[in-house]
Amino acid sequence: MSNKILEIKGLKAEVDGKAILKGLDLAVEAGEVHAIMGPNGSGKSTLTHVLAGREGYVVSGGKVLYKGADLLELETEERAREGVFLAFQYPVEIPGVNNVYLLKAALNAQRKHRGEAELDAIEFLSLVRDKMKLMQMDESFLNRAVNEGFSGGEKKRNEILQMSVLQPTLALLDETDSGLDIDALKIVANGINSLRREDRAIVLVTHYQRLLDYIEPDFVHVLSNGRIVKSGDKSLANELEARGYDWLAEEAVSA
Amino acid sequence: MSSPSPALASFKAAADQLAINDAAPDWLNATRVNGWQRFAEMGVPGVRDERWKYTRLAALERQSFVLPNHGGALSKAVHAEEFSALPGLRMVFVDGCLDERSSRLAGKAGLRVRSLDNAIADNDAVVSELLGKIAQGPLHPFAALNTALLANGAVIDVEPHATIEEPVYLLFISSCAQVSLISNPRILLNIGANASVTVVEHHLAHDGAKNFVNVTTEGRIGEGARLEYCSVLDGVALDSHINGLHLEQAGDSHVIHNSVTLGGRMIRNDLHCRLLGPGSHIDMRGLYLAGDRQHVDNHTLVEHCAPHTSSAQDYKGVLHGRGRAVFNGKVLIHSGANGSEAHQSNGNLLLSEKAEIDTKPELEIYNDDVKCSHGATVGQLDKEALFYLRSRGIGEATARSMLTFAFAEALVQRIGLSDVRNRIEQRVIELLPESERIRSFV
Repeated sequence: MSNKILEIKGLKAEVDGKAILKGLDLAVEAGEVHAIMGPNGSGKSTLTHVLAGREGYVVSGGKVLYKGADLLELETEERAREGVFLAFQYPVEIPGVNNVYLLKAALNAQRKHRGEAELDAIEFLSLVRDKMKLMQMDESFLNRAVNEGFSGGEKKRNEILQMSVLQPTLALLDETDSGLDIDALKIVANGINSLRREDRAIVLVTHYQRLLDYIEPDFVHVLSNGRIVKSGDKSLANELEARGYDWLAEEAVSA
Repeated sequence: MSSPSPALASFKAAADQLAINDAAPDWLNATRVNGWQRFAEMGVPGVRDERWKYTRLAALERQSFVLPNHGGALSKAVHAEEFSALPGLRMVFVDGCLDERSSRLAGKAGLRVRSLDNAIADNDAVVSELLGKIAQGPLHPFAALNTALLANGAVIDVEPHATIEEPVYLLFISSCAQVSLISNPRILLNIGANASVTVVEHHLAHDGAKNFVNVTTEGRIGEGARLEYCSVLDGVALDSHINGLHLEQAGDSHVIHNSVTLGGRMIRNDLHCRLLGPGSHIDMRGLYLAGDRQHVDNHTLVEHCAPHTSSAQDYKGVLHGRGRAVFNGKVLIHSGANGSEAHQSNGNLLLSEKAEIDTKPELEIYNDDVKCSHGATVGQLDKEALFYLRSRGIGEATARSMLTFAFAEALVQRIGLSDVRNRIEQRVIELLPESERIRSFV
């Protein structure tokens, strides 16, 4: 039996008529951590948004299988309930919606989808309190509006808190390291590491190798001009750190 | 000259009836007559009046109204919707008449709350000092009408330096469905220097009540005093409602005004505040909802008359169905008001294509040394926020409801009294379209 969580074949996507992804292939199995690196504008964020189902992205070719079924058929919220989670590069501030309401609504939507009983307020709070300790978040976070007035580090911790509550099968982390100081980076990386599991796949999208010092990936891919141009193990990240991205573009042209 | 409208004729008949039947002191009758003369000169404003351009009173003018029956039996005092948990003194008016059994008027140190007719009978100094002294001038025809038909109301008098912990609660219930009544509550607030108090003015209507409620409130806020004033117009059953709040603030006084209008057929709120003393400040927050066959008009006018005065206005509207709303916020900075600061914002959420808002922020400034800002927005729900919620597994309809509620909640959560705040939260959920989805989260 295949252990494939995500299988992307020849994916093409455009935004406002401009082709961004130009035939992307990627296969991710349960238990694996993949890092997708690449220069700005290579299509990293587009990839995560297409997978999460954001409006405005037109898939013009290829297919995406999630646990063997067509992912692109599903609405954004259905993907989430099926276990796809996107940690946003820029988490959205939502004044007037408390963190605790969002978390509870999200978790119960997922449980209902799976045919499980919804958690009541007490069960939910005890679950979320444990997760907050892991992310070193104060309980006052719960009653604050979602991301409103949060520092960059707090926003990213909040994303990982949501991930730990929702326990996704496929986690897509979009530039989760951006804007973090070293202490916040360690907390976030620690949280992500604690969420590594045999039955879960994690895809880290990052511009810099820095995050990979704390989260060791099984595979590293380089995304350039809408395609994966090179794949390797962790050592590829070090090479990119030393040499930058330009040599790959030249290699791709000469190939 | 065309014959007067049914409404105008009925107002005149009411004024005449009061002058004949009421055993009022001469000065009061003279005040009423004077009020009628001023109202008759101004007339019921039409659409050519810039301040009434978007709020048509034609439907009101076609009706005819009678005065509530003084001292009559108060048949139907159902108070299921009141803020029953609020502690403190309260006055309950049913169809414009004080319901003494439901009221709680025992004295408190530093605070006197009494009915206007009692205060008039006793020659209460607050009446002679305030009545008609603040709500006046050509901008306010309905304040003049209120004076012409003056009969009932409340007098709230807070001694200097008194800190009143428990709110004063004024509840007005429209219940009569047999005839169309005009009720004219007059509220007088005298807040002594350095005193502090919270007042809640709450209007409810039973289904089918066809009342015209014309409230005029006059408040003098003493030096260094603090007032939190909540005006809550609760619900779709309100028919015609014109509410004028007129304040004068002495130096370093601080007022918070929470205005909540949860619908109604024809609602007009006027807030006219004059910042007379240096350092005085008013913080005005307004929430309004309007759906099918509902019209809510908020007009505010803040006059900065002294140096270093400041005002902040934050009004938000949620309009759905064929709901209509008007916001006109004017800030007038007089020449002597150096170093003053005024900020105004009006945000509107339009949930349907048929909903409509006319919004007009106005600044009139006669001094160079001031800091002012204003802005108005009209829009739909934030797409980024919708995507964010959906990406967490929350269905689109629920996500829309959450964001709509959140838009209103940003103002509701600033209401200081938890009893009032919690009830308004629940009412907002009840009244917003499809909001039953979010009840379990809030």
